[in-house]
This record gives sequence, C-alpha cells and structure tokens, in this order.
Amino acid sequence: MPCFERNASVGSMATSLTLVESNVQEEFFTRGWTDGLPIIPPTPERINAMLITGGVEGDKVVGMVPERSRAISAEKAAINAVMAGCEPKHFPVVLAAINAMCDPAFGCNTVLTSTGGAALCVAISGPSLEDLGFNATRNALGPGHRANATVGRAMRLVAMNVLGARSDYLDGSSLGHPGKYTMLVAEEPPPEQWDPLRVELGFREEETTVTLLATEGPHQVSNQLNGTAEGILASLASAMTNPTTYGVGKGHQVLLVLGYEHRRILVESGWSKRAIQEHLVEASRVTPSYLEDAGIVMEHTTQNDMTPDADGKLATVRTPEDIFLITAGSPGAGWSAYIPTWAPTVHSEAVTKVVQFNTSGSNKSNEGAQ
Amino acid sequence: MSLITVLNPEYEEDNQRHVSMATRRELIEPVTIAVIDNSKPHAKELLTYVAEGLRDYLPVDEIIVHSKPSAGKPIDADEAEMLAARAHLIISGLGD
Repeated sequence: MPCFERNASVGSMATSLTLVESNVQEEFFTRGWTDGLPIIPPTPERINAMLITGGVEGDKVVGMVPERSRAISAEKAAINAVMAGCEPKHFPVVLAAINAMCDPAFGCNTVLTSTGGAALCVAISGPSLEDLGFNATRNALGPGHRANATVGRAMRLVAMNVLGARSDYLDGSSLGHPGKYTMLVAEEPPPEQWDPLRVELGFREEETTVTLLATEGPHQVSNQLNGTAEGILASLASAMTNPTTYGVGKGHQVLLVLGYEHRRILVESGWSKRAIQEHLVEASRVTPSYLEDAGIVMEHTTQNDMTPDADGKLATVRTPEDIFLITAGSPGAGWSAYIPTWAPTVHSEAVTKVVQFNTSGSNKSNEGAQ
Repeated sequence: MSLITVLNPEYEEDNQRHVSMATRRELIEPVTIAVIDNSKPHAKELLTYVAEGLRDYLPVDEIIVHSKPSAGKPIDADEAEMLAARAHLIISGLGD
C-alpha cells in the first residue's frame, strides 16, 4: 500500500500520497475514504483553487466538534469538497454548512452517531441560486444538477473522513437512508406575497443562507384533486402526524417543501407563511391514544416526557418557527414534500448561517466560517 | 504510467490534545455512587441496578441519579464538578 508523505512542496498541512493515476479510485475505496461512489482526485491544484475561491487559508479551523476532539481545517474541507465534485464557486456554501454543522445547537456528535441515521440536509436560500447552478424547479429533490448533488455530498464526506462518521467507526445508523449520500434543497423564489426563507429567518434579502437540518428522507405529499387551501393543509398535517415518525408527539422540526400547485392555491387563498405554520402547529397535535393505536409506547424520560398538555394532546412541532417552509419544484399534478428532523429538538436544532462569498478573489479569511 | 499526488482527506492527529486519565484515588467509605442517566428509556433503571449490585462489594451509603436532558449531549463542566464533589464513584453508559 502506498505510504503517506509530508510534502512541503505542495504547500499543505495534510499528508499526501503519490499514486498511479489509474489506481486512485481503488486506493480511495480500499482506504474507506469514499461514500461508495467514485471521487474526483484531490490534487493540490484543485484544493488550492477551492481555498482561493473560498477566501480562506488551509490551516484555518472552520469547525470543531469537542465531543470528538476533532477540528475541521479549511484544507480538509476543501479536500473533501474536491472529492465530492464541487466547483470552487460552491466552496463558500460548503464552509457555511460546516459552520452550521459545528454550531452546538445542531448537536453534530449525536446527529452523526445516532442509530436513527440522519441526513445532513442543506436548505439554501439566496437571490442568485440559479446563477450558482442550483436547481430549485423540476426534480428539485432529485438528480441531475452538480451544485445540488455535490454540496450535500461534500458535507457527508467531511462527516465521514474528518469526523469519523463511518459505519465501522462512529456512525451507528441502523438503516440510514439515501439522503445520507447527499441532500440539498434549493429554494425557488416564492410568490411575491411571501418572504423567502432567509428573510423569514431574519436575514437580508440580498444574503444567501444555508439552513442545516438533521433529517429523515423526504416524504412525498400528494394532493392533486383537492383545490382548496384547507384540503392541502389537511394533507400536510396528515403527513406530519405519521405516528411512526420518531419525533411525532415529541416536539421536533420539519422542513416543508411546498410544490408549485400547493403554494399557488395557498397564496391565492390568502394564506401567509406564518398562518400556515401556526395552523400546522395546532393541526399536528396528537393524542397519546392516536400514537398507542399505532403501537407506540409513551416515553416519560427526561429527554422525551410524553405527558399530554392540558388539551390532552402532545405537540409534534412546538412552535411555528419549528416549521421551515420552502418553495421548490416545477408545475406538475400537485406534490409537496415533508422532511422531518430525525429526532426532537432536545437533541438537535436546525441552524442557519450566511454564506460568505469571497468577492475579492484573494486568499483572505472567511468570517462566516469562524 | 502517469503519477498523481493526492492529499489525505482524513482527520490527522497532529494537533490533537492528548489527555491522560485522572489519578485513581482510594475510595473513602462509606461510598456515594452517582449514576448518570443518559435519558434513554430504561437507562436509569439499568444503571441503578448495577449500582445496587455494588452493595455486595462496597459499603455503599447513597446512590444518586443525575439525568441528562439529552442522550446526545455530554454533561457540562458545572455538572461534572458537582458530581465529582458529591460522589466517590460514577457510573455512566452509552447505548440505546
């Protein structure tokens, strides 16, 4: 097996390997450095291009996970972003998402370890997503777009390679799901009556933000024949109260991706985003017997005290802010998607960070990745 | 045969701070045992059972239970200090 070298000539803190080019993929597979798919070889030139575009020095720490005694350097982030297939212009997005992942509120150590097997789901909101190559319209949650596919993949590779989230080490997922390869939702600009996600969360219209959630896979919400807002909301609430979703009745967060027809009907019926969120908080409350009928046992532990409130019900989402509404998808028959976080907020909360684009093109520090 | 240089994507431990285990101390009798309940179902019962079992080997005076709000989060420095002040022996566990 080829040996590592510490090679100052490549200007790197990381060790390097010199390989026969045709052996690179097998070498990376053998060492467990990939997600099972081939990678782009992380050469010093490609990594340097990432760092320059990101405006960050390679030795800068861009995230820490104290529970794992691990720090993520910009260089290691760049190596994994190259491997994922990111273009350099997407590296600032990756850095912001790493920043979110390492925020204590996100609970990164738990998210990456849990038997529940959560995805690192990136929801991106910004004024120029199309220019950056992100797809928010047809097949918004599906394949076919490099930016969507590779930014999410970079997050998983960082988790695997830098933070040790691998099946043979610190990832205890019983099943996992395909969103663990990559998961990114880009926001289609909402109808003019609604604010985009970033503005709703208190950021400026001209900023680009990433919101990171630890999630299950997307659940399609079909309602194609009921043209009323009430009917669509009832379908969303029904999706949100699947009793076998772990966080139902325990207070988790959800990302709702409102498809074209559903958002059009809701807007035309005069529903604001806030009114939808408030409605769904109430409509997703469930009784213990509703859960028990599905075989669920009530927990009364410090992390999940399922003692009903005064109305005899349990909250699935406790506040309107726990529902992240995002618009995406092309005209079709009437589809939305419900993406629940994998566990209650006591374990992990969604975190939003601003993407710091390096407008000078020089290699300066990236303030958003502190 | 063309050669290519690639960089290691894994965490490298150069800058990791290595810590050694705390000095083992002799138990002061009678013993107070603290159990750290990680908040998963049955964790408290299981660990308390283990602590009760130690009564056969040690002069146990008291068993105290400290419950964390989330299995995923470590106890903080204040909690650690409080437990160190109150207990002679602490049992914790990891699991589902």
